[in-house]
Amino acid sequence: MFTLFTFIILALSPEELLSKVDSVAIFPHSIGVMEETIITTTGKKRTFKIKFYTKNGMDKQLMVYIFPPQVRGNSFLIIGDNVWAYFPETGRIRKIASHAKKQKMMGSDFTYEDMTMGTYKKKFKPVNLNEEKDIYVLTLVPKENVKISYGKLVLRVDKKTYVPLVVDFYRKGEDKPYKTLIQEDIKIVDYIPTPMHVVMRNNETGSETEIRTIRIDYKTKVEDDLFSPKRLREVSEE
Amino acid sequence: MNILLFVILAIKPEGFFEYQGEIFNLKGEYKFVGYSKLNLTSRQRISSSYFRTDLVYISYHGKTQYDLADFMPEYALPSIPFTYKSRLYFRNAFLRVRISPLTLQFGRQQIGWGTGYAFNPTNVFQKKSILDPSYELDGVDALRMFLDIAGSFDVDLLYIPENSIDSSSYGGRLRGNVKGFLDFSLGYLDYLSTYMDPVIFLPFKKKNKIFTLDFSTEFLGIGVHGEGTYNLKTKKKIGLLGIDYTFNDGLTSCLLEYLRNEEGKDNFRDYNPADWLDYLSGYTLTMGQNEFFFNLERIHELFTFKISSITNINDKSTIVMPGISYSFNDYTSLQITSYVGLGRDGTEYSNINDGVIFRIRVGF
Repeated sequence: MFTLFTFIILALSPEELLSKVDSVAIFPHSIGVMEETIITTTGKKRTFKIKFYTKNGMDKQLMVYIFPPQVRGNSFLIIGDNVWAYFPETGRIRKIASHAKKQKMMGSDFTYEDMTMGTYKKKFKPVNLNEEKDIYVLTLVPKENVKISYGKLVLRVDKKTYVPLVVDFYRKGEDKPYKTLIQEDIKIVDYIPTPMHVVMRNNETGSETEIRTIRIDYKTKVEDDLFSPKRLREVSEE
Repeated sequence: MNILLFVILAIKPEGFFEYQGEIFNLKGEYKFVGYSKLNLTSRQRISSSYFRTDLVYISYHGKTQYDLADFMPEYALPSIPFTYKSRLYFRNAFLRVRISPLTLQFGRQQIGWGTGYAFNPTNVFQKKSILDPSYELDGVDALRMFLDIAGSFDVDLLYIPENSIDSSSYGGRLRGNVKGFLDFSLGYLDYLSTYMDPVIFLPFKKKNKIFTLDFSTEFLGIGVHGEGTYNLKTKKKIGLLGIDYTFNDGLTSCLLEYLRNEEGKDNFRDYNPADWLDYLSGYTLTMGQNEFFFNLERIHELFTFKISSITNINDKSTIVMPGISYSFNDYTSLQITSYVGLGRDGTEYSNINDGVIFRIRVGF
């Protein structure tokens, strides 16, 4: 039996593994609160609390900043590759253009581009699969005609949960990872493996951004009309 | 008002305290004006209803009394005094009720029309500060209705009551998004606007009817936005076209906006005292017909460095505004902006001279 199981695992093609990795991240909807801490190169910390709503995996995301007071009500709506920002000071909703997606989101080590990545399969294709003791090492490169800052991603995927525990982001033409994403403290919430602690490290500058999930609920239904630029002001303020 | 304050305090207020000081050159002498500002925000959601108030107390000190003539070229004008008065007021105070597909919003609120950063010609009810266009604006007393229609479209209707129905402002716009690529709105406004009488130098009001348009999209990855109005009475147009770009480092970005204002003048020798008073009182958008805004910003961890400028292309005057902001901690931030006006005497921005503004804000 063990031999058969090992054979099945080894028989996984890179494409099949990528599908399994993506399937873990495709949940119908979620609501929660996360705490984001930005740690600067000099070790100074800034903490944000964000209320989030998602639908169809990460295809539709709404993030509303609830702490600190300076940014309370600032919000971002993501639908596929499109991002809208709302700033309560002026009541203005702004669509973020493709070039601006390289910007750090509210000063964190996540860019708007990182946030709109969605499933890996959407923009990347697998080119190599290796196996270590408890993990698969899967290398992805961007699909043809996909505009993205990264030239390669290397995922270290947990064999049990198919959650990528470490993702190295390489810029085009570089052989050292520019950023590294670490996902840990994997908990099963409503039958879904959920990394409760995520760190994005900028290997070039030494800054990092840590995200702790304070609360997450995959059961409560999220209305589809919540994810609309026309309702952004209302949802952000309330 | 005391009872009101008690009610607001009972609903766990949040908000901010802000101190601002400004050292500025007034006719060759440096002066100081400062203010302390407390903004108490209360908000509550009760079922499908929501209300929000921002109660502001602002207290000025230093040079608080001015003569508008000090900011204009020398005309044979009587003194036009104005004073920064300490006051308690609501910046926002509105009730929102959602009965899908309708959302009703009553009271003092942000209008939020337009996509421009430095100028919003379609938002005729709120004027931005040229020294800080992103600073929060005082709300407008309005009755508003949003109606969701098919797909990603909605209708935004507004009514701003005045002394009589005839003098009240009303209008609406159809807002939508096309395939996630283009945000746009098309609207119409019949509104009461204020001008300065060129003979007696007192404000008077008259009705205007305008068509409005705004959009936001991207072209070759670069953000493109614009907005404009067409005045049915004067047949004059105001249009703004802007682009924004982020450099490959992801930390440096720039924004350019060009404003064509047919209500302005193309020769500064034609500026008259009424034009100046309209402009200084915020009744008109710009003095010139063609203006250019530029902003370059770089974020370095907790610091943001920026330099911006507004140029009146017609009279060749410019205001240059370098600035820096720093986040001390999760609650406190400091912003320092200096400015200098350049140009020949009698031009739009040359009279601003130079100055420095520092602002500390603590949120709670």
